[in-house]
Amino acid sequence: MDNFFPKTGKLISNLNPYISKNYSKSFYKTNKCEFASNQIMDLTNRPLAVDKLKLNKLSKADSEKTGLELKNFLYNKIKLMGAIPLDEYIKICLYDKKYGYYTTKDYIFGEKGDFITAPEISQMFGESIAIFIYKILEDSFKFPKKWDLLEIGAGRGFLMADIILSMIMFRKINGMNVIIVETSDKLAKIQQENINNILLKKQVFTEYIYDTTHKIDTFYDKKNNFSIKWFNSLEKFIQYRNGLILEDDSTQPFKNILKFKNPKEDSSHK
Amino acid sequence: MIIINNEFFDALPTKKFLFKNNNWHEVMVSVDEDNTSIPDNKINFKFVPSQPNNESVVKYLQPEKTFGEMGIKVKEGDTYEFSLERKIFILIK
Repeated sequence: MDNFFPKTGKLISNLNPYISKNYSKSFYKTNKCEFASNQIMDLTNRPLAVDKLKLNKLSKADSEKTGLELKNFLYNKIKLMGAIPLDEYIKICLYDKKYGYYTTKDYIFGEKGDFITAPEISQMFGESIAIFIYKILEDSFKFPKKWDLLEIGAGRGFLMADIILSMIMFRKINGMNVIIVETSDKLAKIQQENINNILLKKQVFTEYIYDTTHKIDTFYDKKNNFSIKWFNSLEKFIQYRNGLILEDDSTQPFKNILKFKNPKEDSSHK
Repeated sequence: MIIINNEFFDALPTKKFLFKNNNWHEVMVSVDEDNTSIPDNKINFKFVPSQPNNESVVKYLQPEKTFGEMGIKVKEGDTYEFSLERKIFILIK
Protein backbone atom coordinates (compact mmCIF):
# COMPACT_ATOMS: atom_id res chain seq x y z
CA MET A 1 0.00 0.00 0.00
CA ASP A 2 2.90 2.39 0.62
CA ASN A 3 3.61 3.08 -3.00
CA PHE A 4 0.07 4.36 -3.57
CA PHE A 5 0.81 7.59 -1.87
CA PRO A 6 3.01 10.44 -3.05
CA LYS A 7 6.63 10.27 -1.89
CA THR A 8 6.20 13.40 0.19
CA GLY A 9 4.08 11.31 2.54
CA LYS A 10 1.25 13.82 2.54
CA LEU A 11 -2.27 12.56 2.43
CA ILE A 12 -3.95 14.29 -0.42
CA SER A 13 -7.09 14.90 1.61
CA ASN A 14 -5.17 17.30 3.82
CA LEU A 15 -4.57 19.67 0.97
CA ASN A 16 -6.78 22.66 0.85
CA PRO A 17 -6.81 23.91 -2.71
CA TYR A 18 -8.04 27.43 -3.16
CA ILE A 19 -9.42 28.15 -6.55
CA SER A 20 -9.39 31.69 -7.86
CA LYS A 21 -12.61 32.46 -9.63
CA ASN A 22 -11.28 35.36 -11.68
CA TYR A 23 -8.32 33.37 -12.89
CA SER A 24 -10.51 31.10 -14.89
CA LYS A 25 -12.64 33.88 -16.33
CA SER A 26 -9.59 35.67 -17.67
CA PHE A 27 -8.38 32.37 -19.08
CA TYR A 28 -11.58 32.01 -21.02
CA LYS A 29 -11.40 35.58 -22.28
CA THR A 30 -7.86 35.21 -23.54
CA ASN A 31 -8.65 31.91 -25.17
CA LYS A 32 -11.79 33.37 -26.75
CA CYS A 33 -14.05 30.72 -25.31
CA GLU A 34 -17.66 31.62 -25.13
CA PHE A 35 -18.78 31.18 -21.60
CA ALA A 36 -21.68 32.35 -19.54
CA SER A 37 -21.76 30.21 -16.45
CA ASN A 38 -21.33 31.20 -12.86
CA GLN A 39 -21.21 27.67 -11.53
CA ILE A 40 -17.53 27.84 -10.82
CA MET A 41 -16.15 25.16 -8.59
CA ASP A 42 -14.87 26.25 -5.27
CA LEU A 43 -13.41 23.16 -3.68
CA THR A 44 -13.29 24.78 -0.28
CA ASN A 45 -16.97 25.50 -0.27
CA ARG A 46 -18.68 22.19 -0.78
CA PRO A 47 -21.74 21.46 1.29
CA LEU A 48 -20.35 19.18 3.96
CA ALA A 49 -23.56 17.53 5.00
CA VAL A 50 -26.65 16.61 3.11
CA ASP A 51 -28.86 18.42 5.62
CA LYS A 52 -27.52 21.69 4.24
CA LEU A 53 -29.17 20.87 1.00
CA LYS A 54 -32.39 22.72 0.40
CA LEU A 55 -34.48 21.47 -2.43
CA ASN A 56 -36.70 23.44 -4.80
CA LYS A 57 -34.76 26.67 -4.66
CA LEU A 58 -35.84 27.52 -8.17
CA SER A 59 -38.80 29.84 -8.26
CA LYS A 60 -42.06 28.00 -8.80
CA ALA A 61 -42.97 29.97 -11.90
CA ASP A 62 -39.63 29.18 -13.53
CA SER A 63 -39.86 25.45 -13.10
CA GLU A 64 -43.51 25.42 -14.12
CA LYS A 65 -42.68 27.27 -17.30
CA THR A 66 -40.02 24.80 -18.44
CA GLY A 67 -42.23 21.91 -17.36
CA LEU A 68 -45.13 23.22 -19.43
CA GLU A 69 -43.01 23.62 -22.55
CA LEU A 70 -41.92 20.01 -22.27
CA LYS A 71 -45.48 18.89 -21.59
CA ASN A 72 -46.81 20.71 -24.63
CA PHE A 73 -44.08 19.26 -26.80
CA LEU A 74 -44.86 15.72 -25.62
CA TYR A 75 -48.61 16.29 -25.94
CA ASN A 76 -48.28 17.41 -29.56
CA LYS A 77 -45.92 14.59 -30.39
CA ILE A 78 -48.23 11.93 -28.97
CA LYS A 79 -51.28 13.51 -30.60
CA LEU A 80 -49.51 13.43 -33.95
CA MET A 81 -47.65 10.13 -33.81
CA GLY A 82 -49.56 8.10 -31.26
CA ALA A 83 -48.29 6.67 -27.98
CA ILE A 84 -44.50 6.60 -27.61
CA PRO A 85 -42.40 3.87 -25.95
CA LEU A 86 -41.34 4.53 -22.36
CA ASP A 87 -37.64 4.79 -23.22
CA GLU A 88 -38.33 7.44 -25.84
CA TYR A 89 -40.39 9.36 -23.30
CA ILE A 90 -37.53 9.26 -20.79
CA LYS A 91 -35.05 10.23 -23.50
CA ILE A 92 -37.05 13.34 -24.42
CA CYS A 93 -37.59 14.34 -20.79
CA LEU A 94 -33.92 14.03 -19.91
CA TYR A 95 -31.87 14.68 -23.02
CA ASP A 96 -33.92 16.62 -25.57
CA LYS A 97 -31.85 19.55 -26.89
CA LYS A 98 -34.64 22.07 -26.40
CA TYR A 99 -36.69 20.76 -23.48
CA GLY A 100 -34.59 18.10 -21.75
CA TYR A 101 -33.79 18.25 -18.05
CA TYR A 102 -30.04 17.69 -18.25
CA THR A 103 -29.60 19.75 -21.41
CA THR A 104 -31.50 22.87 -20.44
CA LYS A 105 -31.68 23.25 -16.68
CA ASP A 106 -29.31 25.76 -15.12
CA TYR A 107 -28.94 24.26 -11.68
CA ILE A 108 -29.10 20.48 -11.45
CA PHE A 109 -26.47 19.63 -8.85
CA GLY A 110 -25.57 21.18 -5.55
CA GLU A 111 -27.27 23.51 -3.14
CA LYS A 112 -29.17 25.48 -5.76
CA GLY A 113 -30.04 22.38 -7.75
CA ASP A 114 -32.26 19.37 -7.30
CA PHE A 115 -29.90 16.73 -5.99
CA ILE A 116 -26.39 16.08 -4.85
CA THR A 117 -23.94 13.31 -5.69
CA ALA A 118 -21.00 11.85 -3.77
CA PRO A 119 -18.20 13.78 -5.55
CA GLU A 120 -20.00 17.03 -4.79
CA ILE A 121 -19.90 16.42 -1.06
CA SER A 122 -16.27 15.53 -0.52
CA GLN A 123 -13.08 15.37 -2.53
CA MET A 124 -12.26 12.06 -0.83
CA PHE A 125 -14.62 10.27 -3.20
CA GLY A 126 -12.63 11.30 -6.25
CA GLU A 127 -9.37 10.66 -4.45
CA SER A 128 -10.29 7.09 -3.60
CA ILE A 129 -11.23 6.48 -7.23
CA ALA A 130 -7.87 8.00 -8.23
CA ILE A 131 -6.02 5.64 -5.90
CA PHE A 132 -7.96 2.73 -7.37
CA ILE A 133 -7.03 3.82 -10.92
CA TYR A 134 -3.40 4.22 -9.87
CA LYS A 135 -3.40 0.69 -8.45
CA ILE A 136 -4.87 -0.80 -11.64
CA LEU A 137 -2.36 1.00 -13.84
CA GLU A 138 0.62 0.10 -11.69
CA ASP A 139 -0.31 -3.55 -11.14
CA SER A 140 -1.57 -4.42 -14.58
CA PHE A 141 0.35 -2.18 -16.93
CA LYS A 142 3.45 -0.98 -15.00
CA PHE A 143 2.07 2.52 -15.52
CA PRO A 144 1.86 3.03 -19.28
CA LYS A 145 3.43 6.10 -20.88
CA LYS A 146 0.11 7.00 -22.38
CA TRP A 147 -3.29 6.07 -21.02
CA ASP A 148 -6.93 7.05 -21.43
CA LEU A 149 -9.49 7.84 -18.80
CA LEU A 150 -13.07 8.08 -20.00
CA GLU A 151 -15.86 9.53 -17.95
CA ILE A 152 -19.42 9.35 -19.19
CA GLY A 153 -21.76 11.99 -17.83
CA ALA A 154 -19.46 14.06 -15.68
CA GLY A 155 -21.97 16.32 -13.91
CA ARG A 156 -20.22 19.52 -12.91
CA GLY A 157 -16.81 17.88 -13.28
CA PHE A 158 -16.06 17.46 -9.58
CA LEU A 159 -15.13 13.78 -9.84
CA MET A 160 -12.79 14.24 -12.80
CA ALA A 161 -11.27 17.37 -11.25
CA ASP A 162 -10.49 15.46 -8.05
CA ILE A 163 -8.96 12.59 -10.02
CA ILE A 164 -6.79 14.96 -12.09
CA LEU A 165 -5.78 16.77 -8.91
CA SER A 166 -4.78 13.46 -7.33
CA MET A 167 -2.85 12.42 -10.43
CA ILE A 168 -0.96 15.72 -10.28
CA MET A 169 -0.12 14.89 -6.64
CA PHE A 170 1.00 11.40 -7.69
CA ARG A 171 3.09 13.06 -10.44
CA LYS A 172 1.38 10.84 -12.96
CA ILE A 173 -0.31 13.46 -15.09
CA ASN A 174 2.23 12.94 -17.87
CA GLY A 175 0.71 11.00 -20.74
CA MET A 176 -2.78 11.09 -19.27
CA ASN A 177 -5.61 11.53 -21.75
CA VAL A 178 -8.96 12.49 -20.33
CA ILE A 179 -12.08 12.01 -22.38
CA ILE A 180 -15.43 13.26 -21.17
CA VAL A 181 -18.63 12.28 -22.90
CA GLU A 182 -21.32 14.83 -22.09
CA THR A 183 -24.54 15.26 -24.01
CA SER A 184 -25.37 18.58 -22.41
CA ASP A 185 -23.47 21.54 -23.86
CA LYS A 186 -24.25 23.55 -20.77
CA LEU A 187 -22.72 20.98 -18.42
CA ALA A 188 -19.73 20.53 -20.73
CA LYS A 189 -18.92 24.24 -20.42
CA ILE A 190 -19.21 24.05 -16.63
CA GLN A 191 -16.90 21.02 -16.59
CA GLN A 192 -14.35 22.78 -18.80
CA GLU A 193 -14.24 25.77 -16.52
CA ASN A 194 -14.05 23.72 -13.33
CA ILE A 195 -11.30 21.43 -14.57
CA ASN A 196 -9.26 24.29 -15.99
CA ASN A 197 -9.50 25.98 -12.63
CA ILE A 198 -7.79 23.00 -11.04
CA LEU A 199 -5.14 22.81 -13.72
CA LEU A 200 -4.30 26.51 -13.57
CA LYS A 201 -3.99 26.38 -9.81
CA LYS A 202 -1.56 23.49 -10.12
CA GLN A 203 0.47 25.30 -12.79
CA VAL A 204 -0.66 23.06 -15.62
CA PHE A 205 -1.27 25.36 -18.55
CA THR A 206 -3.42 24.00 -21.30
CA GLU A 207 -3.96 25.31 -24.77
CA TYR A 208 -7.50 25.39 -26.12
CA ILE A 209 -7.86 23.71 -29.48
CA TYR A 210 -11.12 23.42 -31.36
CA ASP A 211 -11.08 20.55 -33.79
CA THR A 212 -13.13 21.97 -36.65
CA THR A 213 -13.40 18.73 -38.61
CA HIS A 214 -14.58 16.68 -35.67
CA LYS A 215 -16.16 19.53 -33.67
CA ILE A 216 -14.40 18.58 -30.47
CA ASP A 217 -13.22 20.82 -27.66
CA THR A 218 -9.69 19.88 -26.66
CA PHE A 219 -7.43 21.23 -23.97
CA TYR A 220 -3.84 20.21 -24.49
CA ASP A 221 -0.73 20.66 -22.39
CA LYS A 222 2.34 20.09 -24.53
CA LYS A 223 4.79 20.11 -21.64
CA ASN A 224 3.12 17.27 -19.78
CA ASN A 225 1.64 15.57 -22.84
CA PHE A 226 -1.72 15.82 -21.10
CA SER A 227 -5.01 16.36 -22.86
CA ILE A 228 -8.72 16.58 -22.17
CA LYS A 229 -11.31 16.10 -24.86
CA TRP A 230 -15.06 16.62 -24.82
CA PHE A 231 -17.45 14.58 -26.94
CA ASN A 232 -21.20 15.09 -27.02
CA SER A 233 -22.02 11.43 -27.58
CA LEU A 234 -20.47 8.09 -26.86
CA GLU A 235 -21.02 7.11 -30.46
CA LYS A 236 -19.00 10.07 -31.64
CA PHE A 237 -16.14 9.14 -29.36
CA ILE A 238 -16.12 5.52 -30.50
CA GLN A 239 -16.11 6.66 -34.12
CA TYR A 240 -13.22 9.00 -33.35
CA ARG A 241 -11.27 6.22 -31.66
CA ASN A 242 -11.87 3.86 -34.53
CA GLY A 243 -10.77 6.48 -37.05
CA LEU A 244 -14.16 6.73 -38.72
CA ILE A 245 -15.72 9.82 -40.22
CA LEU A 246 -17.86 11.51 -37.64
CA GLU A 247 -21.51 12.05 -38.21
CA ASP A 248 -22.78 15.00 -36.29
CA ASP A 249 -25.88 13.49 -34.79
CA SER A 250 -25.92 14.78 -31.29
CA THR A 251 -29.71 14.54 -31.09
CA GLN A 252 -29.38 10.78 -30.70
CA PRO A 253 -26.56 10.20 -28.25
CA PHE A 254 -27.08 6.46 -28.12
CA LYS A 255 -28.21 5.80 -31.68
CA ASN A 256 -26.12 2.81 -32.56
CA ILE A 257 -24.28 0.32 -30.50
CA LEU A 258 -20.75 0.27 -31.83
CA LYS A 259 -17.78 -1.72 -30.81
CA PHE A 260 -14.38 -0.39 -29.93
CA LYS A 261 -11.69 -1.71 -32.18
CA ASN A 262 -9.11 -3.87 -30.53
CA PRO A 263 -6.10 -1.56 -30.01
CA LYS A 264 -3.80 -4.22 -31.49
CA GLU A 265 -5.68 -4.07 -34.79
CA ASP A 266 -5.64 -0.32 -34.84
CA SER A 267 -2.17 1.01 -35.54
CA SER A 268 -3.28 4.60 -36.14
CA HIS A 269 -4.04 5.30 -32.49
CA LYS A 270 -1.18 4.93 -30.09
CA MET B 1 -8.62 2.65 -21.27
CA ILE B 2 -10.27 3.12 -17.92
CA ILE B 3 -13.95 4.01 -17.90
CA ILE B 4 -15.61 5.67 -14.93
CA ASN B 5 -19.03 7.10 -14.31
CA ASN B 6 -21.02 8.14 -11.31
CA GLU B 7 -24.78 7.62 -11.06
CA PHE B 8 -24.84 7.24 -14.80
CA PHE B 9 -26.89 4.08 -15.23
CA ASP B 10 -29.70 5.64 -13.20
CA ALA B 11 -30.07 8.33 -15.83
CA LEU B 12 -30.43 6.03 -18.83
CA PRO B 13 -33.75 5.43 -20.60
CA THR B 14 -35.47 2.12 -19.92
CA LYS B 15 -37.79 -0.06 -21.94
CA LYS B 16 -40.62 -1.74 -20.05
CA PHE B 17 -42.71 -4.73 -21.02
CA LEU B 18 -45.92 -6.11 -19.55
CA PHE B 19 -47.27 -9.66 -19.71
CA LYS B 20 -51.04 -9.56 -20.13
CA ASN B 21 -53.61 -11.91 -21.67
CA ASN B 22 -50.88 -14.43 -22.47
CA ASN B 23 -48.96 -11.92 -24.58
CA TRP B 24 -46.08 -9.52 -24.07
CA HIS B 25 -46.85 -5.82 -24.57
CA GLU B 26 -44.51 -2.86 -24.59
CA VAL B 27 -45.41 -0.14 -22.10
CA MET B 28 -46.08 3.11 -23.94
CA VAL B 29 -46.82 6.65 -22.79
CA SER B 30 -50.00 8.28 -23.98
CA VAL B 31 -52.07 11.36 -23.18
CA ASP B 32 -54.53 10.92 -20.33
CA GLU B 33 -57.64 12.80 -21.38
CA ASP B 34 -59.83 11.82 -18.43
CA ASN B 35 -57.54 12.40 -15.49
CA THR B 36 -58.69 15.39 -13.50
CA SER B 37 -56.77 14.58 -10.33
CA ILE B 38 -54.43 17.53 -10.85
CA PRO B 39 -56.78 20.43 -11.59
CA ASP B 40 -54.04 22.98 -12.48
CA ASN B 41 -52.40 20.86 -15.11
CA LYS B 42 -54.55 20.26 -18.11
CA ILE B 43 -52.10 17.84 -19.72
CA ASN B 44 -51.53 14.48 -18.08
CA PHE B 45 -49.89 11.32 -19.27
CA LYS B 46 -50.56 7.66 -18.60
CA PHE B 47 -49.04 4.28 -19.31
CA VAL B 48 -50.77 2.20 -21.95
CA PRO B 49 -49.88 -1.26 -23.27
CA SER B 50 -48.95 -1.53 -26.94
CA GLN B 51 -50.37 -4.01 -29.42
CA PRO B 52 -49.50 -7.56 -28.34
CA ASN B 53 -46.09 -8.71 -29.61
CA ASN B 54 -45.19 -5.43 -31.25
CA GLU B 55 -41.91 -4.74 -33.04
CA SER B 56 -40.01 -4.03 -29.82
CA VAL B 57 -41.14 -7.27 -28.19
CA VAL B 58 -39.99 -9.29 -31.19
CA LYS B 59 -36.75 -7.38 -31.71
CA TYR B 60 -35.54 -6.65 -28.16
CA LEU B 61 -37.43 -8.70 -25.60
CA GLN B 62 -37.45 -11.99 -27.56
CA PRO B 63 -39.66 -13.75 -24.97
CA GLU B 64 -38.96 -17.28 -26.17
CA LYS B 65 -35.22 -16.77 -25.90
CA THR B 66 -35.33 -14.70 -22.71
CA PHE B 67 -37.83 -16.78 -20.72
CA GLY B 68 -38.55 -19.99 -22.64
CA GLU B 69 -34.98 -21.24 -22.93
CA MET B 70 -34.20 -20.22 -19.37
CA GLY B 71 -37.23 -22.06 -18.05
CA ILE B 72 -38.67 -18.98 -16.43
CA LYS B 73 -42.42 -19.07 -15.97
CA VAL B 74 -44.16 -15.74 -16.48
CA LYS B 75 -47.55 -14.98 -15.11
CA GLU B 76 -50.24 -12.39 -15.71
CA GLY B 77 -49.13 -8.88 -14.75
CA ASP B 78 -45.39 -9.58 -14.77
CA THR B 79 -43.20 -6.75 -16.00
CA TYR B 80 -39.69 -6.80 -17.43
CA GLU B 81 -37.41 -3.80 -17.77
CA PHE B 82 -34.15 -3.29 -19.53
CA SER B 83 -32.12 -0.51 -21.05
CA LEU B 84 -30.83 -0.74 -24.59
CA GLU B 85 -28.20 1.85 -23.81
CA ARG B 86 -26.67 -0.25 -21.06
CA LYS B 87 -25.81 -2.88 -23.62
CA ILE B 88 -23.19 -0.50 -25.00
CA PHE B 89 -21.05 -1.33 -22.00
CA ILE B 90 -21.25 -5.04 -22.49
CA LEU B 91 -19.89 -4.58 -25.98
CA ILE B 92 -17.00 -2.32 -25.02
CA LYS B 93 -13.82 -4.33 -24.84
